Amino acid sequence: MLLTLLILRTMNNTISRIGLLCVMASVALFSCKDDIPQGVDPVSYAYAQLDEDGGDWNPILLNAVTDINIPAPDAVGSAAYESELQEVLSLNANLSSTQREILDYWGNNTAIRWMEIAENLVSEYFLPPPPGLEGNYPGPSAAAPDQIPYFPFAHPPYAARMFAYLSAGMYDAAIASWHFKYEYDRPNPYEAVTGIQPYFPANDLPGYPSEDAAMTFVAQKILTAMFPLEADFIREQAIDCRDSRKWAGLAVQSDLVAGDSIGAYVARVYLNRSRNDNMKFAQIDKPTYEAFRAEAAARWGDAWPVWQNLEIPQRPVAITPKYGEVLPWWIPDVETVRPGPPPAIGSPEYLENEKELLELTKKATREQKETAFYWSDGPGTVSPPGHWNIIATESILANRFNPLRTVRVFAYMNTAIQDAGISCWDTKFYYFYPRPSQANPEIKTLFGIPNFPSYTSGHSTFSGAAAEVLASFFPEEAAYYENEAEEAGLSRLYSGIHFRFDCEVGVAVGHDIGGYAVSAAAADGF
Amino acid sequence: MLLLLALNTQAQSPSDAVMMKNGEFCGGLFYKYGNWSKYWQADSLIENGNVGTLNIHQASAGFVLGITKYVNVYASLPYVVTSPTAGQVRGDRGAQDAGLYAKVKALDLKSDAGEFLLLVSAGVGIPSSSYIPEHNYAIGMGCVYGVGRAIAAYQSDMGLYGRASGAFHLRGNSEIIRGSYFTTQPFQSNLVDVPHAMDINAAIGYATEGNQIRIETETTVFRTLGGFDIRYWDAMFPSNNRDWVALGGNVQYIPQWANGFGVHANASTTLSGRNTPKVFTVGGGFTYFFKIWDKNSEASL
Repeated sequence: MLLTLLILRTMNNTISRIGLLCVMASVALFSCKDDIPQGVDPVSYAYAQLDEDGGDWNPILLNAVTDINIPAPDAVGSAAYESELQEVLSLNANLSSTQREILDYWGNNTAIRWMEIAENLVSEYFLPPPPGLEGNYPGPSAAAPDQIPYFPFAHPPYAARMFAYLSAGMYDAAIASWHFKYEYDRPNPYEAVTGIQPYFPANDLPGYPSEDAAMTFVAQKILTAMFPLEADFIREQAIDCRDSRKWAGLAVQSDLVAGDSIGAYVARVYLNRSRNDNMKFAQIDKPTYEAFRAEAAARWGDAWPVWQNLEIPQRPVAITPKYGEVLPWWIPDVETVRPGPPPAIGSPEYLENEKELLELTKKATREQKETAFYWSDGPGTVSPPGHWNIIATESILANRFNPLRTVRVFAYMNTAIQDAGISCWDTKFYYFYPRPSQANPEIKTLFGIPNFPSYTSGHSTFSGAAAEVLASFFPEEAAYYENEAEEAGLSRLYSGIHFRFDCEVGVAVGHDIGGYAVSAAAADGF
Repeated sequence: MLLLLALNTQAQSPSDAVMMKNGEFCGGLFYKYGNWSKYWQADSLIENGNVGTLNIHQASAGFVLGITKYVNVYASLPYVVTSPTAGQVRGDRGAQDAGLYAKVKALDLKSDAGEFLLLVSAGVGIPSSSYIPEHNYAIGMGCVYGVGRAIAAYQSDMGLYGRASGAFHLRGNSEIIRGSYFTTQPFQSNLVDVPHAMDINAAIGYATEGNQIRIETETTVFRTLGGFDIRYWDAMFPSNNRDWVALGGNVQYIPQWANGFGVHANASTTLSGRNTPKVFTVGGGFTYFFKIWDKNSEASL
């Protein structure tokens, strides 16, 4: 009987425990259904510095910001300016909850949000074309962007270019804004009149012209060119961002209009470059591609079988085989930075690498798999360049950078990342080196193999360049970026889609390429 | 990516109308094989040459215990292996979600012709290993979930029975590893809001005295409440809108001469679906039944 009692008591305890577990699980179910973030929290903070001489820094693409004609503003005390101030006073005093939401969303460093919008557009448009009825994967068409597959297919080279134009354009617009702000030195509205409650931490940055309007104009133009189906969405964002500057007491109408003028000028310069940067020749047709591939096959002979797509049905053409001919920002030419050849298949160095990879893919640890998926940055994500923009954003916010300094980081990093992409694509299609699974079908992967050759790893090259640039802007975090770049490289090894030499050479070349952007930044008058 | 998991792998399950008596214990080992070569991308049934056929092997251990004749508790733990026949992507394997359930007999009306039963069951599923839910061939959704079910059954004295049940599946967030993804909107997070779900299950069958032989056919209609359609040529994702209708059958044989041992077999097929694979499964297992404590000794308490 005692034994039975004991058993029963144990049973009772078990029931209580199960009951408790159920309750705990239910609580967990409800409590973790909080809003899942789409980006960073509201961005509003006092700037660590104003960079009063920022208007003298070298723009990336503009010859000189003084080429832009920005007339002197109406003086403080003039009737025209007073009436503009009255409008802002009234708007600022009567903020609706919707307006507050918009202000909270955009914050006072709006470039952060524009970069985030761009990252999120990449995750939406990073979707490879489906095989289609014929199994020949008809590609997206800029002429008919709304037909499946939608234009664009925002793969990493596309994303890298988009981020470069967007951030460099915003940077030139910010430099021009700073230049005229300190040339004309008209105070911002809340310093010009009493009664305006600045929505964001106050500072002495002159109001005319509005840097937000200038950068927003550029962002709208570049993003619309890059994501034509999103024109309406982008316009709504631009209107919100621009209008909200009045509500915040940051800008009067003429500040915004002058900002627009800067933005229009800069956007024209950048869009003009984008039309002539060879990107339109990067995605070639099948016959041209086959000839390009045959050239590489002849070049490398028995050293290795040239890369081929392994998907079923086979994709007829790789992703942007001629991206290596796209106009770079900083590197003199792709040949200068192109690494030496990878090991020939069957060579001792190759065999050692193949053995390592085969063992790794069979016995990857949980940590290694985590690294692989954390850096997967494949379809539906912000892509490797987007991933580095998220990392840059963390550092920018931690250091409370002003908008000008913010876009300086984004501009140098993203132009370096695009140069890395251009160089890496040149390398990939110069060597046409096979993926591990082609060289040895026993090598299985953790996720799909990207549609381009193996050597060198794009992730690694992008990451090396990004880390090099970020380390120059945030030297105290250099070791962290270096570690992230190495992890990003190794992640491709752990996932089985690259050999170690693809990654290590990629990171090293990325660092070299980042160095060109760093040198340019070091001589820009900062 | 998988479906038709732990439910119904046990001889007595939280979704049927069978109750163990006070002190009765039934433990079992089960194996189930499933495969699919087609899946619904939104509502179009397609193939992917890079998957070929996905083979799914599931071994599970579980038990049910009669706390009283009104309250039974269940526990189960499946181990799942997935392996595609084509493409370069490796399958995955690991211990899946541990299930803990309790079932209560709420009403038992006996008449000359038969017996009418009302039961409720509730339980939780908790990922028991750190498997990766964003893997193409993930072994599970990687979220904690709770299931509450109401069951009505009628068993005639002739042996024929009918059963209907409805359940609500409350599902938590799935924790993936990558930091960004797109559903119908972009997210910069590794948390995925897995939609809640409901199902309706109906069965008819025949059972001999004491459930020595049971044979039944059942159909299940499963619906997520929310979620999004797979985009063209995109991978499946834990927060997809996932609906399916499946038809299945279960057989058990627990002969008196076997001293508590029983054998079980089941099969099921997906009839229609949305953002879900068209799966065929077949499985079986052994159970061992014994009394942990005797009912009479309870009376002496």
